[in-house]
Amino acid sequence: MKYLVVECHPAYAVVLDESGKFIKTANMHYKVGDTVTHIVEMNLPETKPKPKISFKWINTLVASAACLLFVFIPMLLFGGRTVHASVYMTINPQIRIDVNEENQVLDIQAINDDGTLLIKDFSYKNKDLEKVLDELLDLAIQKDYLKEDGKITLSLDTEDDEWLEAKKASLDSHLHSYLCEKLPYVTVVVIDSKESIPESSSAHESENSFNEESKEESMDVSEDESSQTPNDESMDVSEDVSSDIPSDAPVEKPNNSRPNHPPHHDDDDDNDDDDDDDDDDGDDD
Amino acid sequence: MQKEHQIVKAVYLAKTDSQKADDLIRAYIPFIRSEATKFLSRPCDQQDDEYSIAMMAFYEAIMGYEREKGIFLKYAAMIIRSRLIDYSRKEAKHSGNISLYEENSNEDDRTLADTLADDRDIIEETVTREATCQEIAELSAVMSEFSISFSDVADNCPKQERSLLRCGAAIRYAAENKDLLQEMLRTKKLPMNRLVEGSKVERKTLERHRKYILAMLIIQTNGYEIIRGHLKNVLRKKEGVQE
Repeated sequence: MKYLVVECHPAYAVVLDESGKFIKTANMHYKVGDTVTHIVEMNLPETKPKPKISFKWINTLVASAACLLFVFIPMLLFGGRTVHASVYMTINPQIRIDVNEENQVLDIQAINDDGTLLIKDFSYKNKDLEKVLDELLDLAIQKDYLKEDGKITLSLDTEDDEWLEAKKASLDSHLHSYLCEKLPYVTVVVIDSKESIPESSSAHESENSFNEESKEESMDVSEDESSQTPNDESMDVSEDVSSDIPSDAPVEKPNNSRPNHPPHHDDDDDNDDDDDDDDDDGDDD
Repeated sequence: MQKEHQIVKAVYLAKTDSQKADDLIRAYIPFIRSEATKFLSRPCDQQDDEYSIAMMAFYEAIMGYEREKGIFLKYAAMIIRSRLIDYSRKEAKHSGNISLYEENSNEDDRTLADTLADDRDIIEETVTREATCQEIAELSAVMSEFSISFSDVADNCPKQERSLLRCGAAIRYAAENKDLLQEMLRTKKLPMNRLVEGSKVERKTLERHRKYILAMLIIQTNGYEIIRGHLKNVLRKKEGVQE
């Protein structure tokens, strides 16, 4: 076999054999154009189509995608589990309902013993706020916690003012309409929890079982129903809350006892002193 | 390890850039020579065949090196040694042969090679070589218009006999259809569709050896008589038996 030298490099040469094969060989002092008979063929790795370098960056891409997933999946999964607002419902039993942004109920906690009894065996799974409230009300009626002349207070605790305002109105009307068929003469009050801080208290029959400091306008007297506008009252209350003076609230519904009364004041059913009481602090109880 | 890092970088560049490969090799000639000397236990210089072998081995090392294989120069030294061993074994087989260039015991001042009868006149041979050189230079120039080099072609060349023959069929078809060649020269592209149709060779095969086929087709155009003469076996269908 004869080989025609076609190219020379310091370390190798390219030759062409008689069958048309181009071969890289050692450059044994060749010159281009030489014809040689003896070559030392180079031993190169089989030139398969190389795995593209892109394989490596795909690894990086996949890894980053995986990382991002790890970051975002929890957010997606657990976003729905963040408590967006809490609704404290007080009749006598007092319970807290936690909801997420989507108005789904995440959790219900009893705050007092009656509350525990009320929600025993109650499932809130997959229910929205209104439904849960309705069902709890039914339970309360059924278990005799809520009767005619009873009162329901909803205290809304949230950072989201928009939600607060919207819910105040909607929940109020919702409860009113729900109840007016079932049980008349029930007082419904919906307020912003910032105006009153719920605390656990023992069950009082149709008493204002909210904590002492709550100056919420939730009237102990339950004669009033829908005539009350919680919004107004809450506004009134807030003025009074800060002062903590048991002075009569400037705005007062005639039938209602004053929005604020001294913490440990009994319900007004007993006293007709309302108007007289300017400093009722230590008057009763 | 900064130096190693630089070397590795240079090696990886040299893998794909033939000029950089040459430069890198030139830079390490002292290293290559010393490795060969170590192996031979006698000084190795440019005249020796072993020198050429060692240089080739270094080139192989550049092409075959991966970071996982450790320090580049150690890898290269291993390859050089390995090749020199192979070579010395091969030479041992032919031992008993004397070098063509040994001086005649006749003290004629003529080497053995000189006294052997040549097939051709020396002058003729020189002239032919000149002409061949010329053709090759032209071929190289035309090839660069197609953006291919001899090294590329050698890398791209079919290694298996079967593929080689199949490509040969395509080349033959083109040789018989000059217009195809003209089209190729004009467009500077391989007329693949026509080739596939005409030669009935699988497209895949032809695609895989694209650069090789391009070079061979160029050779079939005007002006490469000597080279074609060298390739006399290519155009012979299957009967051309090469060792």
